[in-house]
Amino acid sequence: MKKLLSCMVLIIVISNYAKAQTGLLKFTMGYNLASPMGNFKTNYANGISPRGFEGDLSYGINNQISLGIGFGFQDFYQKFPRAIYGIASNENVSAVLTNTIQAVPIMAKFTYTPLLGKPVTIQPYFSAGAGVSFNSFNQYLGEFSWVNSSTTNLAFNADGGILIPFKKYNVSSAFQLGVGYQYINFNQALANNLNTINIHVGLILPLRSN
Amino acid sequence: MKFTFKPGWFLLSAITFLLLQGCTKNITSSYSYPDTRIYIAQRDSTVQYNTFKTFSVSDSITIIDNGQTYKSLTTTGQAFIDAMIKYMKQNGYTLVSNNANPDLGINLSYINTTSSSIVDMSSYLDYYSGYWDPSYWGYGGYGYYSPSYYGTYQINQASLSINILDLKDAVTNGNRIKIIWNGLIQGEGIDDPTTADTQILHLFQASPYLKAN
Repeated sequence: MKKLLSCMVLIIVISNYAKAQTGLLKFTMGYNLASPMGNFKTNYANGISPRGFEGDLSYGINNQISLGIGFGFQDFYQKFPRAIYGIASNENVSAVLTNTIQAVPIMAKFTYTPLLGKPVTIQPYFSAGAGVSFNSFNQYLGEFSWVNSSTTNLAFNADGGILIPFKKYNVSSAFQLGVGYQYINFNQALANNLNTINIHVGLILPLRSN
Repeated sequence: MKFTFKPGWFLLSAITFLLLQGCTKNITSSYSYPDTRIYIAQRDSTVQYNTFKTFSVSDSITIIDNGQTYKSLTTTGQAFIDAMIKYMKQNGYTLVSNNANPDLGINLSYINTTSSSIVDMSSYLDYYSGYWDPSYWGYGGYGYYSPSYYGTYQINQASLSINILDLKDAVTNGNRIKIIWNGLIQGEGIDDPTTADTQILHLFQASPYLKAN
């Protein structure tokens, strides 16, 4: 009898996992750290940006695949010590130079959760996104805005990490920890791309279910 | 299909909005007064600065305050005049009085504007000619002129403008006194006499060609 009861509980658990995200609309929101790479790091912002967040709205096609819209925001800031810059053939300026870049990517996002539907506590996930990023670049000489531009550029993202459900048999709410790479085709003189390695933590919450 | 809206949606929307509002770093929050300042050195590319040997500096500052113009000599003004003399001498030029036929004349102007605009030398020269009569340099009846030095800078506060004048070649320049160098200082707290020396030093560091030898 005891064995039969155990089997029934296991069947219920597995059946819950079996429809773990199918038809579920989820909202993910998290804090993001972004570390610039390449020319972006060398010429614009060489420190890790702690001012960012990322999230997505996704719909579970089945247990392994969800599709949705990913979005984010990251603010990069770099202040360079006073130096002399040639701003024209007959003009030099001595100034503290500061760069600020704000990137707001919005992407179509594909997420793969290979073990969803199986009774494991920690769920790995992988995701990829493609879309555009709305970027604002400001360069200051002293307190004066010297360059001010807004661009819309192609953006790509690849991400992987783990999901830790809050309830053992319910993955609609979970803690997320991930590491990703983001590419934004910035196309500016001193950096073609805004390449960053991102580390993020977030929460997944359900918005609606079938 | 059953739709169930969760309160988390509204909560996270609110958080998103707050994050967007608060996540951008204010650049001036990490700036000291000196960090806000820029020192722009502009020159006439056709001039050989080592062909000049002597200079004289005006004995007061021209104040251009939202259309009102007058001369003044305050502690701050004197500190800037002294610093100009110091660094001109360090760069090999010899100080002489204004009536001793100096090769170069140096005028300092404090410009206070309350609106954003482009630095416009033509209107500035109108004031300049009125209050620094070329006769001060022994060239009565002459006028001032300037090459196109100025770019588009946003002026929303006080500026200190320093001009170096070519007196030596005034006759060959068609009886006109040519402004061959301009130093422009903008930013916070520029009228602090204790920083005048450093501020003038920054202008000279941006003008490595400004040497008599």
